[in-house]
Amino acid sequence: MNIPKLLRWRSFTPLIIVLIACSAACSFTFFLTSASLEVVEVPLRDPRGELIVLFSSSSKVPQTGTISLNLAEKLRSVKGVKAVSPEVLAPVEVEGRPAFLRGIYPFEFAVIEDMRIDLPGEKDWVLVGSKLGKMLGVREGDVLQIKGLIVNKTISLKVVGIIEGPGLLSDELVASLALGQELRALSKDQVTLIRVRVDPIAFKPEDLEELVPTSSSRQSLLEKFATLLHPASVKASQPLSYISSTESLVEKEVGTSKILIWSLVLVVVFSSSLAVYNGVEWVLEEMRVTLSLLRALGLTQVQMKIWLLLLFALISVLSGPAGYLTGYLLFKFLSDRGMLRLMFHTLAPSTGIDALITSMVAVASITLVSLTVNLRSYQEV
Amino acid sequence: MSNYLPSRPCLLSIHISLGNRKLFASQVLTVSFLVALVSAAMSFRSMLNLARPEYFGGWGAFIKAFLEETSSLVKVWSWVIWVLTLTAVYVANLRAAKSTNEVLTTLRVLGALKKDVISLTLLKLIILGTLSWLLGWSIGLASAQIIFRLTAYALKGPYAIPLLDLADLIRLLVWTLSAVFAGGIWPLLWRSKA
Repeated sequence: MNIPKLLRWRSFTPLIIVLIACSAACSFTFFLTSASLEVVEVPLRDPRGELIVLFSSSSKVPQTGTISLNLAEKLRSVKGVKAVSPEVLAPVEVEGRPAFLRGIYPFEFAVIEDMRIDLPGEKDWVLVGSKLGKMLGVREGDVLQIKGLIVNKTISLKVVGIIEGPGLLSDELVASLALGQELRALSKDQVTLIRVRVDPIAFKPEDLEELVPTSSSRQSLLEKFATLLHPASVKASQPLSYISSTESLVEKEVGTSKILIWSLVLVVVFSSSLAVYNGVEWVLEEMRVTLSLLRALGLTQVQMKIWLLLLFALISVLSGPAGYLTGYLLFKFLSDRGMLRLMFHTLAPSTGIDALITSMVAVASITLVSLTVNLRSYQEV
Repeated sequence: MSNYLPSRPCLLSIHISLGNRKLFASQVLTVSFLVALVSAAMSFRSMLNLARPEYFGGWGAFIKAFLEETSSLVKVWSWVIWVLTLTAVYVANLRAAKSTNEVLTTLRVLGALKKDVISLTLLKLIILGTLSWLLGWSIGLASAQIIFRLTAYALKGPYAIPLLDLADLIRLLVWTLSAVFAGGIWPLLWRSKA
């Protein structure tokens, strides 16, 4: 029996539109989630596995804590360490746009980043990331007015170069360590983080543990859930004004936003399930006469169900990539126009297969569950 | 007393425009879930906006800029969900249009004008939009408050309650009605051709 010829394929259009919209919403939310987390946590990662980032153990995000500069000196003597770059991240405002100014020691920073930095002996110099420079319309030789967000101070810096290429630096300003410390209101012996380039063969992590004491104050995720499950140990959260450390407040704000964004993917899938259910019901209604005809021609109930499951699975799996592509292009379009930013960095869509699989699996599973539920109450003409 | 009650023709119009009760309830629930999703995100955004930069001392300007970015992300994301709502309404209305087609054709045969049929469809979209808005923001706000309270206890986060103010509710109503009407246009045209 040539079943596909009997079908009215036009009746599938509404379902396909819903599946593509659902898949696009899922992948867009996935990109938003992963890019947001990456922006906060990427300073800690290195694709080559040769970079270690040290930041305050009491700090949840590397951007907010402070550590001693003396640690950098100690690290230089550790076996297997190739370069040590102490850095300060100072939030600033440049031409009305918030950004991070990274205070560095140019020589060590160049080794860590594997780049060449030529400074023409200027005292008040600044390097501008390519994306930020493009948005601000800045060129080499221009003078930028930079206002500190923590320290109320405005300074003029000459642009001595543009940092090309992707990555976090493309949204940042890079200047001297002393300037970073000044704009972040730190003393001369404090920095935000220390990045260490190591030789993976010669370096032993135990040597680092001797220098850097590990903190036990951090609560694991399991402990947090245990607190939630045992009401006796639950304590009321404190009002904002009673918390003393401003840095911890910043971390809590960032943490809350991360939770908010993560929960969105699941909620999108759940919320769009009824729309998909309606689409499936519409197609089954449209196919009712054809299916009854097929049953009269000898198709068994089981054969019909298997055939429908395969058909809907195929349609939903094919709609997944179309929705993924829509979500990706939309995200990229908005990102290129600077409309998607977090922690003063432009969010970029991840090119991994995770988003594609997530959107395909989510859409296919909702479709198949909807079909199964619909088939239970399905009555032939 | 009878003056204050809707007239019989008015009730009949509502009855005809809504069509199959089960189908209409499913439409309301579909749109409500999506409205709830956006209203929950909006209430989180409002909660973030409640944070006073002066609490943060020197970090105030940083926090303000960060919250503006988060708020902007929620706004952009809510437009994506708007498109999803639009398609959900489109499919739901296609089904509804099909189910009421027979009744409306009978009305046309009995002398009802095309504009009467369109008015009945528009009446349905208004009722659908308003009910979904009411149900959606109530579910969304309640869920946001429950989730945030539990999260705040577990993570010892800042003590603030997600809220929706009047401006948010109006924005949400416009958001819902525009999605419902945009999604309902094609089935409406399809019906008016019939």
